[in-house]
Order: sequence, then structure tokens, then C-alpha cells
Amino acid sequence: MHAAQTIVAPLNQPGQQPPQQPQFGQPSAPPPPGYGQPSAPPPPGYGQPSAPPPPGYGQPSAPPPPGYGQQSQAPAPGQIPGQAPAPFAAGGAAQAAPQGAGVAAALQKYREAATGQRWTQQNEKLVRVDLGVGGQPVLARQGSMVLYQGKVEFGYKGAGFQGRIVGNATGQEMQLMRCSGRGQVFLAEEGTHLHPIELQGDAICVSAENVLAFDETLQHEVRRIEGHGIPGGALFVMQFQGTGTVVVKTHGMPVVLPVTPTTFADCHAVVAWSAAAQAIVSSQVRLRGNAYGGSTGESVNLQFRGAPGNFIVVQPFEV
Amino acid sequence: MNQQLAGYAPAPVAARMENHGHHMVKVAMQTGNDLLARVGSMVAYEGFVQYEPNPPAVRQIARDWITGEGAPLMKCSGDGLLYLADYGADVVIINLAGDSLSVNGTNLLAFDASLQWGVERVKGLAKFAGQGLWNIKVSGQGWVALTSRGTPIVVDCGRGEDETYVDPDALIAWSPNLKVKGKRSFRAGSLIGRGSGEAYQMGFSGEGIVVVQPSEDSTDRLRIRS
Repeated sequence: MHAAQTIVAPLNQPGQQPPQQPQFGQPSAPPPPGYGQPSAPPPPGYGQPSAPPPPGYGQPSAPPPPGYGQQSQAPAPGQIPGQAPAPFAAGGAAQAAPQGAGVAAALQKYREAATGQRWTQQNEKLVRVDLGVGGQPVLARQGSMVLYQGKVEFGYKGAGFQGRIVGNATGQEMQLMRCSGRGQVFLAEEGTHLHPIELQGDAICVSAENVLAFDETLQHEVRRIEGHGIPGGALFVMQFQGTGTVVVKTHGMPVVLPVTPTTFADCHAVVAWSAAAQAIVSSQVRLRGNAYGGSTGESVNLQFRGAPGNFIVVQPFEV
Repeated sequence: MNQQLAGYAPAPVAARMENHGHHMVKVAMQTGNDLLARVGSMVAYEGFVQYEPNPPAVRQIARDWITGEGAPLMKCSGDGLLYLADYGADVVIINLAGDSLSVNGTNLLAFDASLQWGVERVKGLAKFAGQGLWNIKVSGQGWVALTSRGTPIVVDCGRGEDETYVDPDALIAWSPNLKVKGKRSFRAGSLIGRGSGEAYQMGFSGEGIVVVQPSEDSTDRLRIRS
């Protein structure tokens, strides 16, 4: 994972977890008491295994409900069933922890992560912005608010006359709303993965359709990617510059690649790259292949050049 | 071949409802403890489980079940293990244990038939366009499974004096003791294409929680122009 040195500034992750980790679930917390034993002492053998299993997984604390036919195959209480470690249990912390009773206990792992930061990632698909910190309005994609607390105004943000002309001509236009006032706004869209990227005077290029929200203090402009031989004429991208945060959304978990002399990406799947990297269109011209038909479908690629430290973000989804 | 897949075997049963991964719920069925689940949500079962598509007792109430998408219930009874899922949505399992919860109809996957439940209409929203927002209030001793498009977030409502406003499309569930009111942030500008995309919100005040999903159902309920 190259995220350590290539992300511009990894944002405030609650709990200092890597961005791909789910933010909920508190894997370090001791598992709450098992089902049906809210106040009873721990079940026999609780805590015996040297390698603790994921909380609650394969830990038969309470006897199965009567009438369930496979009861005889269940291992003795307190023992780990002899199965291979579950692949999803190794990575995901959201295995069903033995939960206490009640709504509050069941929903504990989905609690809001509270920090005093302006931008806080709540989980991999939700971002909270606190408008009180910094006091600047936030521009967000229209309709991306899912919840807010406090006194927040949502207003239309037009691109302006010139912006509409440029947006129409290049396809890099955003339907924005301005969130101003005082309070917290939760932003999400269509269950896409969100990645707040903090800019401290540097710049990043993002495809406009992958921008969810950004601080109004950031300047953005449409840039053209140099190249020739593209059927549509040219490729364009939105460049953000200044001090502030831009939230990028990707369909699925993205890959962040460092820019090397041989870094290529499909122009439909690449989402963002650091603006110091230079993007060049490298169309693969194969006379024979094109003449015979049977194209590979990978004709327009982007090649990236830049000093070490630059990165590109690619999503597993081609628009 | 079996070794790579062995990790996905179900865990031994420890409770009435358990998560299998993020997106599936495993229910330990037993005779006399029936389950009401959304029609078509069963993906697998072991043992002897029978399904009644529309039991007469439910039908009277289900007549009022207006969720926009139409999500009728089926009654599952028998002995065995039942696996439910809903198109890859995250499943959240709650042991109510005497608490109560109001759930948006489209986000309810299954619940014990022994719970008290009823369809109610959200007060204060009746004046909004066309359909109101309908929800299911469940309470009692038993288990409930909700679905969420993406990992949900739970927000405390009673923090500070400010109310909490939610996009109705993203709302999953809330505490029934909260006061609900509708809010329209509607301006004349919306009619000429200068809207903010957020026409209606639901405001919650009081002590309790609100559960929200990071995705907005694409149905155009409660939205006149975006």
C-alpha cells in the first residue's frame, strides 16, 4: 500500500486506522457480554484461546435455541471450532459481536465518531463536515446531504456564466449547493466510498463527476490534458488548488499508485491524481489490430510522469 | 477446493439472529417462534422451514403497507437455519429487549412475529406531496433485522439545543419517542432550476437516536424537484 507516502495529507481518521479499514466496530474493545448473559459471569473457558478469535465469531456462549437440529455438532462451550479463519472475519471488524440487549447496544458500533475537526470521516461512505470549525461555507454536490444538525442553509450555487460555458464545452461541470451556517452536515452519495483529501497549498486533479464536496476556499478550474489522436478531441479534468479539503468519491475501494516512469491508467477508471504529475494521452495505435477489428477496448490510456511522491487514484469501475 | 471456501462456513448458532458477514443474516428458526420477513429475502435455509406468503392476520395490516416499493411480508415458521439478504445491503441486527424502534418500511428486513408492531404514518408529513412517509413501529422482546445501503451512522438527537434534520430518502430508523416534524427548505428559486437539491427534510427533536444510511433511495418520494 503506497498510501503512506503518496496521499497528500491523510485526513483525521478516528482511531488512526488506514482508510480502507471500516471505522466502526472497535476491534480492540473487549467484547460485550454474550447473548443471554448480560450479567452472568463469563462463560467457562472464556479467554482461554491464545489467539483470540474475532469478537463473537465462533464463540458459542449461550446454548442454541431448542429445536435447532444441529445442536449435537456444536463444539463444547468455550472452544474454538476447528475451522479455518474466515477470510472476511480477518479483514472486517464488523463481525456480529455478541451484543447486549437493547437498541442502544446493538447500534453501538455505528455511533457517530465525534472529533473537533472540520472534516471527519464517519465510515468509508459517510463524511461529516462541521461548519462551525473555520466558519467557511462548503460546496457540495446537490442532494448529497443525508443529515444535518444545527442551523444550516442550503443554497443554490451556480457556476456563473463563464463556468457554464466551460462546463458545457468540456463536460467538467458540477451541480453544486452551498452549505453555510453553523452545524454539522453529513454527506454521502449512492453508497460510494469517500476520501477527504486535505490540500495545503498544493493541487490535485479530479474528474468532476467524482467530486462530492470541497471547501469554498479552494480554487477550481478546468484543465486540459495534452494529447492527440483522441476521437472526442481532448480530455479535461478539474483542478483544485489552495488550502482546504476536497472529498473525492469512488465506486468501490480504489487503488493509489505512485507515479513511476511507466504508470498508465484507463482514462475512464482514473479518478484523481496529484497535479504535479503530468498526464499524457498515450493512445495505442496498432494498425494491424485496428484494421482487422478485434480491438482490445483499451485504446485511450493516460500515462503519468512526475517526480517521486506523486500519485494517481484509480477506481475499480469504468464510467 | 474446500479449504479456500471453508472460511465462509456459518458460525455455530449463538443467538436468534446473527450476522454472517456484513450483508447476510442467519436466523435460528424454531417452532412456535415465527418470523416475519420481507417477501423474497430468503437466500438459503437448512431444516424444515415453511413460508406463507400472506398470512390472513398480517394481511389486514399489510393492506396499509405503503412503502412506495411495495414490500409485503411473509411468515416463516419451522425448525432450522434461515439466511436472509436484500440485494447486498448491509444488515443490522438489533435485540430489542423491551425497547421500541420506528423503522422505515423499505429498510425492514425481518422481525420476530412475537413483537408488537404496526404501520403508522409519520405525523406532520401528511401535508407533503402525494404519499406520506410510512413506517413500522416495533417493540417488545425479540429481534429485528434492518437493511442499510452502506454502513449506517447513528446520531444522538438530544445533543445541544439544535434539532437534527434528515433527508427522508436516507432515513432508516429512529426512536419513537422523538418528535418528528417536516421541514421544507423550498424556495422559489427551485422552480427555475436553482434549487439546492434538498427540498424536504424531517426534523427530529428530543432524546433518542436517528439511524441514517449513506445512500439515498432513488425513488422520488417526498421530492418535487431536484
